[in-house]
Amino acid sequence: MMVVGIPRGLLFYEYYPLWRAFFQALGIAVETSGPTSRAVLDAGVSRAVDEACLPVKAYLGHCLELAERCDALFVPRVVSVERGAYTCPKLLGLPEIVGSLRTGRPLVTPVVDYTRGGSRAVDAAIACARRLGCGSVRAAWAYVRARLEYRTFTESLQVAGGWFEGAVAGRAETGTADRARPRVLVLGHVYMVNDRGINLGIREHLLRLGVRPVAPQWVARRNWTSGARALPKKLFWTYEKQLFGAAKHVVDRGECDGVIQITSFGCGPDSLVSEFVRREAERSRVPYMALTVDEHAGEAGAVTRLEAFVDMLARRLGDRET
Amino acid sequence: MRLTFPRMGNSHIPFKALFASLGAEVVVPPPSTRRTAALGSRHAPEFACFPLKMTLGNFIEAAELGADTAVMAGGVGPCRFGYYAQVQKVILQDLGRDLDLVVLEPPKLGWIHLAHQVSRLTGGRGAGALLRAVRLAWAKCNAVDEIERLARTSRPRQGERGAVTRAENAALDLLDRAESARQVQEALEAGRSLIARTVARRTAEMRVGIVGEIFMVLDGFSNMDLERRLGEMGVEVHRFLTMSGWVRANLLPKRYTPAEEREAVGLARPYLDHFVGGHGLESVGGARLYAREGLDGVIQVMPFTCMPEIVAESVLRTVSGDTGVPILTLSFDEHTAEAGLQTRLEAFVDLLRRRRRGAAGG
Repeated sequence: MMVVGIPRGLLFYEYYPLWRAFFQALGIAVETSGPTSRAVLDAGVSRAVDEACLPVKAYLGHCLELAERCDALFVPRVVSVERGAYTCPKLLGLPEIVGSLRTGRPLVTPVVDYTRGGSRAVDAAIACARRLGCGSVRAAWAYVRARLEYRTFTESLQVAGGWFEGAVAGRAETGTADRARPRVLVLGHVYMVNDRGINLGIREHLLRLGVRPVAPQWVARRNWTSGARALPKKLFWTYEKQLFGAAKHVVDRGECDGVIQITSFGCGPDSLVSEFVRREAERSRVPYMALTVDEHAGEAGAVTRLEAFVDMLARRLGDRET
Repeated sequence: MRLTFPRMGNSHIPFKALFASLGAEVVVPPPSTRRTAALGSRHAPEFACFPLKMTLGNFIEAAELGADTAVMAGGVGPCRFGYYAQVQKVILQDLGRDLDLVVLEPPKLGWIHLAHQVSRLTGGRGAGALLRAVRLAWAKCNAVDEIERLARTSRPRQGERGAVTRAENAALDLLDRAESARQVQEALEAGRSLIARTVARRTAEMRVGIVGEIFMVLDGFSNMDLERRLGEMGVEVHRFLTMSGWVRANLLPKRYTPAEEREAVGLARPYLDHFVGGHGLESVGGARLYAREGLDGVIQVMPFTCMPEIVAESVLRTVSGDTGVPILTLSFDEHTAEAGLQTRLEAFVDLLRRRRRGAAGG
């Protein structure tokens, strides 16, 4: 049986449940790479161009690791997920960036492009299935089934306040309702917030420090869309719009006590949008910290900064109560 | 209204002509210097790309000279450039600089908005005045490109070091002073002969093509006079990215896009099958184009962390392997040091020279 490999990186953390369900419905086996390890990072870093961002370098590492265990690599070209906006230039050119690795495995690269509207994901799904030798009708059916499964996933993120791993495994999250603990919005792209291998374990450290981490992905679409209207001009990057809109929504409603924006060094969209997020936080008098990571970032340094930030939050909360 | 605009290479010459003929009082931002870069980097977001910082520095320096309105271009992504003006606006506000940014967004985002912004700049003057202003600016734009091209091809053949740069500056100054399309033609002719007089050799030792992000390619301060440095090492520099070419590719119907640029986009396809914003496709295809034309090497120029160019860089390695043409990538920001650049260029040119000798000997 044919095995399709899905690298554990970038939009994996957004769409993996959809992709997995789709291939399963088609009767195609799916293999994923393991969690981001030092070895995966090193492999990616050594093959990527210097200035690529850490998530792209990690993604290349995952492709190299996975190439040995699959017949084809699934590397979609997600150009746009909504009308009039893009994802990120590096995602637009992802198949070619991976292609430059010459892994010896063919790439399956459906193109998802909503820039001009329409329902392009289903077209991409059918094209992808045909490339793997399945019929169009079967592909359309598999896609519809996968959408249903994907909805359960996004709901378990938004309604229950879950995180990627739990929602994928279908686990109910055991959220802490301890009101005395500070809540921190961990703002960042899905692959920054959810990949422990590149975010230096920020969420685990926050939990250990007695903080309740809040994810931007918990904010419903209509809420972040309306939050993003506060920007001076419509943003042409969907995921950045989501980040800013979610931060605005959460900060405005007083649903967090601090914001930590976790960014990869050299992230183009973040470099501009974080400027607006910081201003929004300052306006609402919510402490803001930017944490930039790259392949040289040390966990100890990050932990010190997190501890200082959390100490400051705890003091502020204490002052407010007295 | 005291009007200013960002600097990019010699674009201030046509811009000044355009706005001055529309009756605006034009404040040309002072030539970019280390101070411009320092001002821009101090106030811009740390990881913003270099052109944002440079143009912000231009705005601040123009405001110091009394400018109250600045013209800036917009965009629809996915390159960051389309959001520069919005970021710069809030920064200038924070600095207490009373600079009103007029953002010209592409018609895609609304014809009415664009027409409104343009009418703000023309001060309600009629279409006739606008047409005359555009005609003069366009003549200057093309003439500047021609002078720059002559300087690029003549510099490696100059009899005396620095002669072409002096002639080029004199020619650009003549163009800047021209007040009618006819005077632009006369200035251009004079400039041509000034440059021609500096040439002492028939051929250049070698030829290199430059591709990359347009601001960094065109702006001599930002790329640390890359073309002059190469020329003085005996290299004839080729590039199809020009001001007039940009206007033709972006503001006019497709058939006016310069032939080389159109060809480059086509040549990129086997290596990069989708546009990635900015000049990513042109960089990949341009490298192939120059390889096909038998140039000795290609240099890709970009601002540090430029997204489209990073994608291009990823596949340029493959292009270099397949065509056998060496490709050097240079990224610039406020931390780039002159000595480092010079050393890398010398090493690259040395490599090209050796290859040429090897080819001739073998």
